[in-house]
Amino acid sequence: MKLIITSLLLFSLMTTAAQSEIKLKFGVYTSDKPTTMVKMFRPLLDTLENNLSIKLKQPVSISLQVARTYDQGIEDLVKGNVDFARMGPASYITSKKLNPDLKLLAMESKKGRKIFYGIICVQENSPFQSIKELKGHSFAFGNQRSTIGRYLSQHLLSTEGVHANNLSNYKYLKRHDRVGYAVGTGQFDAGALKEGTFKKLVKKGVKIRELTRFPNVTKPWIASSKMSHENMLALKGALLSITDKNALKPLKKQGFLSAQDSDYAVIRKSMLNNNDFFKPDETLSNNR
Amino acid sequence: MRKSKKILHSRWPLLLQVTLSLSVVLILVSLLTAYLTFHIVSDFEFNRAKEKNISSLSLLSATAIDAVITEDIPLLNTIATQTLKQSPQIHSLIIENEQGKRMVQQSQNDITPDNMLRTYSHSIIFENENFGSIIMQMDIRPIKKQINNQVTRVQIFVISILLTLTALIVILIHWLTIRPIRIIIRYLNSISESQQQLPLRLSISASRELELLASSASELSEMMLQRYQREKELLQTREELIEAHNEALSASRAKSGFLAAMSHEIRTPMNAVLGILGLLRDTALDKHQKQLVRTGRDSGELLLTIINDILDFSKMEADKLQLEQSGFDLHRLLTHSAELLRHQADRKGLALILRLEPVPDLPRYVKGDPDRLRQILINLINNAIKFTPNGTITISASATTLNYDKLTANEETFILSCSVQDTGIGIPEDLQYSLFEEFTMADQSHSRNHEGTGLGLAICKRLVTLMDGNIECCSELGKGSNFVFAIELKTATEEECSDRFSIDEPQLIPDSNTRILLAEDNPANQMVIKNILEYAGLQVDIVANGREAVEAIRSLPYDIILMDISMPEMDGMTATREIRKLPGEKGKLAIVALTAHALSGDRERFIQAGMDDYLSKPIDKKATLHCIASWTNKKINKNPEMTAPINQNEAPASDISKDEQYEYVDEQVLQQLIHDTDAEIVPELLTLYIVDAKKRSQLIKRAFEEKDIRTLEFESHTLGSSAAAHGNEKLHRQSRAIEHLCQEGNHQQALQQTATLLSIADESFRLLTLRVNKGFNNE
Repeated sequence: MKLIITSLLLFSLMTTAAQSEIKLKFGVYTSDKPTTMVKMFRPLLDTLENNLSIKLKQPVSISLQVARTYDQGIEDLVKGNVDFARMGPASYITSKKLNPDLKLLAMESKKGRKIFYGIICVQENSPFQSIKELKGHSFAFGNQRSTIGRYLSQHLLSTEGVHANNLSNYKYLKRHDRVGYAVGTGQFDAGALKEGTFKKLVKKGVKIRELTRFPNVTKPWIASSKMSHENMLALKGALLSITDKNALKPLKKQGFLSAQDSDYAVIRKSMLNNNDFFKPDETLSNNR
Repeated sequence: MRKSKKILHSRWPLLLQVTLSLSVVLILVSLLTAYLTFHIVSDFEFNRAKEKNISSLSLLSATAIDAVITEDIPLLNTIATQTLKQSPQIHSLIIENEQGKRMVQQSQNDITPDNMLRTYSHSIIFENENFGSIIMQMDIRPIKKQINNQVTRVQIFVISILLTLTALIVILIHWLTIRPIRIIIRYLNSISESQQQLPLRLSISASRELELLASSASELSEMMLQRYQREKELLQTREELIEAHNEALSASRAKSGFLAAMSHEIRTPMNAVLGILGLLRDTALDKHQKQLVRTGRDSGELLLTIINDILDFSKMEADKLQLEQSGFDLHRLLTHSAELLRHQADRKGLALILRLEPVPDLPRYVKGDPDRLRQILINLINNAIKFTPNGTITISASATTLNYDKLTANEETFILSCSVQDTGIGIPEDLQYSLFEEFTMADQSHSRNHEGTGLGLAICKRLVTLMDGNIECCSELGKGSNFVFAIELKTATEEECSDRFSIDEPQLIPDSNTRILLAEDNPANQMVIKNILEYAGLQVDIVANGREAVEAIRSLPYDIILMDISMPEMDGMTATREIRKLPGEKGKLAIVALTAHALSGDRERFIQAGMDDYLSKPIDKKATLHCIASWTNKKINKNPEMTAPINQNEAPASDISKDEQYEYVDEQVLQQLIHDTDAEIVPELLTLYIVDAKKRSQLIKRAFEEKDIRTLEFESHTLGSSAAAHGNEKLHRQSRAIEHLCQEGNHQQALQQTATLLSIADESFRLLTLRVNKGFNNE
């Protein structure tokens, strides 16, 4: 009898626990190999699970949903298929535009700052010394939805008078590392990639050198419009309070900073002006 | 033998048994091996397949992990297509995400039964997060086929090995066991013929046990040979023993033959001598001549006695003497024995007294050997007469009943004690112990004064011992001796008793017309017997041998033949057999053996040869005439007592002794009568009794002639009672005996006894009259 009562009690506790467990989905799109993405985020998500559980006094589990494409990642967030997501600033701009109810949770800290750099690279032995010299040559971009890989780099090029039509050839190679390899192997004369990837490739021996650099805002972590306020606050608090170096190391970030939508105004502007890059030179001059 | 062969044929040979057993084992091992192999190979193959599949799944999951994480379905489809193409053993492939949603499902085109599919699944986990799973269904038919092939190969291998092993085992068993066993069997079969065999040795490959068996077989062979030789020796010894036994028997027969011959050879001339002396005695002789004849006859009879003693003793020594067990009248035997020697005692002036306990204290009818008992008594009485110069010889007989040894209602054992006491010269004490030894005499001087072989007491001792009894002597020198013997006897009924010749039996005389044929080769005997028979008024023809006797019977009518046994040309036995073959009355003629052959068993031998009776030589006149009369059925009762006028008062004086006179006239009864009445009255009483008793005896005689049993019984009773009251003791006993015979319905015997009664009555009346004439006094 005693055994039956004990069993029933345990069962009810387990049932209660199962019912009260908070399951969250974290979305991210493949800016790298999916497994690299998993490796990068899983430690942080594990820490986040613990912190959230403490904060919410309920067990919290966070599953990782890696979207195959930027668009898919944006769609997942906009439609609420994921509870929260990390994406590039450009994708945030796009998502916010599609679903204004999205809320910024935090933004990544790069050595305590909200900005980092993108690199325009050329071959190590390339004669190019300025952006302008790139006219008439080929150029490798990253993803079409990438902030550095497209919007900021194209904005810089167009500012320096280099447009799509005065490039001999350009192509979106989707990933930063591919851009580095393509330039290093001479497939393209120049390319745009983020600073971290550039340094890694150089260290690996890829024959590339920095032509110039341009600033970029660190990536935002955005809550879905479907996330409850309580959970959002708890998540926000948890993110901002993360100091675990082991969790942050794969992400190569030092923590999180509070974010406002205005932090991404520059990005929004570059995106709005992106068409300038594709306009002919005359049109550009007139517009200015 | 046939049964063992049948059993042998029903059994299987060892080689076949071993082969069959191994075959069964082979089948079982094969089945077991197949079972085990199937399971082992199955486990092995499926584990290998599982490992391979897990490895493939791991590889596949590694390949597809990026696509699974990002749920890149086109890529996953491509991966699945390529996988199925590269691995035909994979029947289908399913990839699900972490929520179980099926992202990809592809399968081979062929149809595989469900039982031929095995499912493997593999979760895609990365950094501890489950991103989905790959489910793979394997077609196990190739594995199964492979398993079956492997099992078949293993089975073939195992069966081949086992078959080889079986063949090897069978060959080894045949070589190591069956072959040596067959050699041993052949050896054992051969040694049964008791022939010399070399020791059996098996080949070096034979086992220790079989070598031991072979060694035992060799030992058996040797033992059998030894036994055979021993048996042979024993048989030889047995044959030698049989030969020795036969020789001993021949010697014994020769001895017996010698004894018989001696008996015959001595008896035959002695018969003639005694016969001639008997004839001579009946002729007109003066007193001296009569004395010489009597002395000669006495010497001859003594010589016969000595011969008989020697023959008897020889038979006893050879354990050939066998006692008879026939019924007889003990009282009569005792009386007869005393009477036989009374004459001798009278001649020496000795009183011979016989004291018998009355019936039933001393049983009348008993079972035993009457001849041998008589022999003992006569021997002892003879000795007493011989060694008693004057005085009395008293013979007493009494019985002690052994109540504990009652055999049947009519038969009981009792101890007969007989004593022969004399007032003779006595025997020295130191000689009394050896008295019963052979050839012992009390005194050497006696041997000079008294005839004898010294065998008499030894024979008595042996006879008494044979009768399970004992004989002792108590003697005092100069005062006399008392010989006492006790033997065991059984009581018998009157019917069991058939004494042939007794002194009380009436003497039968043959008819004068009786024609007798005497077959006798000895001329002296011929003369003696012829004279005896012719003296009795009988007609005798003489032949010298058996052949002449047979011829005589064929040609002339005879009533009886007296046949000598030992004769030339044809002996008496053969002649008897020839006569018995003759037709009609001639073949049934009475034949009486007349022989000196007196050894035990002779009578049976003669009767068996077809003879009717026998007479022992030397010829006894009375016995011969009685025998002839009894067989010719022409007998005339010529008892002297019967022929004498019954009513004669004065009968010739007889040789009755004083003691016997007491049997006729008991003085004690007379004295009691005087005591009861008066001496003056007693003569008158006795005279009246005699007159009345004579009337009664007349009535008895008439009843005898008319065979009136009732009157006979009544008058015998009356006569017996009055005889007892007036001292006629013997008459009383005889009357009572006839009365009892009548009461028992034994009429014939009662009538036969009547003559004796009348004779006793006459003698009793005569002696009582004499006593009356002597007068009586009151004491």
